Amino acid sequence: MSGKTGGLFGWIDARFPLGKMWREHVAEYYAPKNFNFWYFFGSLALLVLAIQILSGIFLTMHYKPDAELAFASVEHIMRDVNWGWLIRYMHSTGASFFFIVVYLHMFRGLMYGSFKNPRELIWILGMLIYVALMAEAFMGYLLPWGNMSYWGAQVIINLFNTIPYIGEAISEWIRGDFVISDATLNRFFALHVVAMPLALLALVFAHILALHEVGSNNPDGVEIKETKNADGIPVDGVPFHPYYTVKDIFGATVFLAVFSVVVFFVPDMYGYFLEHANFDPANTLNTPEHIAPIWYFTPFYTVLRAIPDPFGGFVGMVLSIVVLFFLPWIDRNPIKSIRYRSALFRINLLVFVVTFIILGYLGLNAVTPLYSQLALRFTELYFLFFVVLWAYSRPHGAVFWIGSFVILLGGVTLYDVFMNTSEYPELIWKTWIIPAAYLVVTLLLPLFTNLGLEKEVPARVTS
Amino acid sequence: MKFLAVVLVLLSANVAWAAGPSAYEKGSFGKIKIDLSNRTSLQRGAKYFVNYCLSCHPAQHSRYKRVADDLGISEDLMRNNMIFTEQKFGDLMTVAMKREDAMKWFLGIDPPDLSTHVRAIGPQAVYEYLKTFYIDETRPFGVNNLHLPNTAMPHVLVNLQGTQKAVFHDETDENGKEHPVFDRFETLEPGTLSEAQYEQVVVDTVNFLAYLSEPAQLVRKRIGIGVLFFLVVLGALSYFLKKNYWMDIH
Amino acid sequence: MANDKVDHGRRKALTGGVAIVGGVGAVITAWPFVSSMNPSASSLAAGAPVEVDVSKMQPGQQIQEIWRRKPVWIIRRTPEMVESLGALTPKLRDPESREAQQPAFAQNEFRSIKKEFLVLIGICTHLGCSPEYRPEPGTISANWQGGFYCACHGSRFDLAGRVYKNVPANKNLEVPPYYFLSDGRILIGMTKEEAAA
Repeated sequence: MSGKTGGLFGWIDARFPLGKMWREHVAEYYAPKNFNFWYFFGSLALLVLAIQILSGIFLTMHYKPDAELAFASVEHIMRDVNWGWLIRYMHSTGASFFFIVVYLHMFRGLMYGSFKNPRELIWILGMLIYVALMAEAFMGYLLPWGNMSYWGAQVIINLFNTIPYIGEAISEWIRGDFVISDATLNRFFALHVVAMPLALLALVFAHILALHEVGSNNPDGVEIKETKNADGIPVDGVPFHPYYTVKDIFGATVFLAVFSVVVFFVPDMYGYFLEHANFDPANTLNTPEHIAPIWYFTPFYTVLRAIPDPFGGFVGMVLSIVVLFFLPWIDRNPIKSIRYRSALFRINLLVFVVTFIILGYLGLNAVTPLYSQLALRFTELYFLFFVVLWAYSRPHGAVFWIGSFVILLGGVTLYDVFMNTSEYPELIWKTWIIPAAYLVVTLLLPLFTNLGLEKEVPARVTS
Repeated sequence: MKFLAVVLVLLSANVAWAAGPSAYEKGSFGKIKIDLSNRTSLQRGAKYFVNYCLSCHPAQHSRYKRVADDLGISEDLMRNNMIFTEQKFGDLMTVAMKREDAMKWFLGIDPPDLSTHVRAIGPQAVYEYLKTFYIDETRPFGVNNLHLPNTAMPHVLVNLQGTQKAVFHDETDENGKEHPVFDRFETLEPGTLSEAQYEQVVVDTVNFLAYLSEPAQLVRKRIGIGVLFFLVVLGALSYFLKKNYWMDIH
Repeated sequence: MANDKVDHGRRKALTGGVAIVGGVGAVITAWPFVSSMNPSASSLAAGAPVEVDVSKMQPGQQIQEIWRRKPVWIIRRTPEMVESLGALTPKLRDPESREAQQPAFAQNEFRSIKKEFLVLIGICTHLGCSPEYRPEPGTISANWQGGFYCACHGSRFDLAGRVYKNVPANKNLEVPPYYFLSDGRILIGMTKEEAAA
């Protein structure tokens, strides 16, 4: 700050970079002026993180991480503790809303190419946050010690059993016992309330710091730093404060209204946010009729179930998450924003979103012959998306398009011929149409139509 | 999208796989309508609950005092007419029966805790369960249940409802297997209550159990309306504030 | 970027409005969290008033009850004990119970409803140890008249729970709210007025 300021603030500022931090990250952080609806979700994710930490601290005051007491202590919170029901519903609803907000935030990144040079590290840090969040949510879900908590954790941790040779040792090490038990509950509690929140906060801090180093992307995918005025300030930038603080306050209020509708009117969200079987205490002898993970895990759970070989399924599930880390090196198209990319890119992204939702839907439901084939097909689509995305990185000739079409569809077909275990051949060929149609549209249409044409990117933001 | 259309066609063509045979049509005995604003119904339900259920089923996460406060039952009335054990007004509604005894009497099944179990299965299930007991001499207590076949629980409301027998007929499914399918109930001996009166007893009891599974229901929606009203005001203000600031930007 | 058409008065008013409404919202939101730290229904149930049967107590006998997780003593004083109380006045710090260490009904020489029955919370007013009941004269010191002795720091109280001068404790032992349900039955934790309300 130029000149000296007096008072308490001046005294502190001479000893601690309070004013400097405020200027660098808020008052003089220039963000592009053309942020749209999709740019609310970053600050909303911070808001949900704050809600989770605050409500979590107060739940911890009343919760008992003991297999004998845990379930009753949650009911104690729901009934005996003043306003305990509100604090718990905030936390349980917050968990689901965290994922809603984060999925929309990630989708924004996909649409506008926010993961591309120079923002690769922001994306990777964000992916680490996402993985940490999944671990945090998974461990938190065991704590109420309901029957779904218990069996859900049992099933997921047993996934590690499928790793050859060392699998059982790993899952026993995670549980600290031969099944889910008090030991597991106790360590999950420690990790959920101390370790993971610390890791999340550190990662979020790094994510924001990296963002402010390179500056925000925007819906046009244009670097605002390339057009500066005489003072060195981006012409298309506006100071984060007050412009985006007032905008985010409005966004936060709308978000809180939606959040409150769930908290106060449908806290169990018809069994999707709080599963009904979880209102029965953990019973080590009685599995719920139908075990489904909580909704935000189900797309990956479907990938797991789509592959009949247990270890193969486990690897597939891990890969479906790991592949996202490599997005900056898969999509190498220099155009960032969806606005200037080809129609086929838009179709491809839309198919990916639909695929992700269908995978999630399938994971919530019991396996039927049809569903297991659909799970396989949409798992194929999930991974093919990245291949197509890579193919769209630069222009190609007819040989490339036809060649990759033949190789990919051939691979899908070979899998069906040699490895598809379905007992219903009719289902196999009927659902085979799904990846086939997808590959026809995404790989052959560029040859015959101009859907693959890209638009010229303007030098400055458009609105 | 073409592939979506394919999915939809396939889904509709193959739903039959998901459906299995069922002994009776769920919901054919009517749908329970939970009305937590009906205090007298909740009070009657509380009375039936402590008289007929609480001797075996605990409600161990709920307190007598909370029930009395929420339903407007006086402390004296609760102490004198609804607490049958040595328990105090502020105590949890546990049962005196030892767990081992319960396991022995009820075919190795521990009567579930009714302060949480009803939320797991939903009130409609309890409603159908209480209405579909029928005489079956092959069962230990001489009764069976349509909703929960081979239930381990005796029909505790039999004096009120009376006894009924179930009439089944066989149906052949598409795989050529025969299944008994429920036809109707026939009254054997009438109980002390008429059919309508018994219906009311069941409705009141289930209504109370729905309350008991989440007492916060009585207040949370009302508070929610206040919260939303507040957020609408704040939302409007912050919208105009945002608009005002963004007039600067072109 | 400054715009002449911007209405700065309106901007100020809106900023103030959002700040005030938002601030009120924050305070209201804080309330459930603050309130959740108050004693829960289970703590309140555990701290409910306790009924004690004193009809079978021998003169001079002490019994101990638990109310709100604290020890509560009931002592059936002999007529000699009651008589001895008057003579101690000069040695005591607060012989007339002026400090609010008892409900109004016990602000008397005997610090009780009935002379015979003394009801006290058995926690030393110095640092919270639990004193001992030592009714035998001459045991703690040569001129000991009988009373309560706290071994932690040597505080002394007479047979009405009144503190002696020149000991670490500076307040009389606390008398809990209580009343007689009948001649031989005491309810600890509530005054008669509170019970009637």
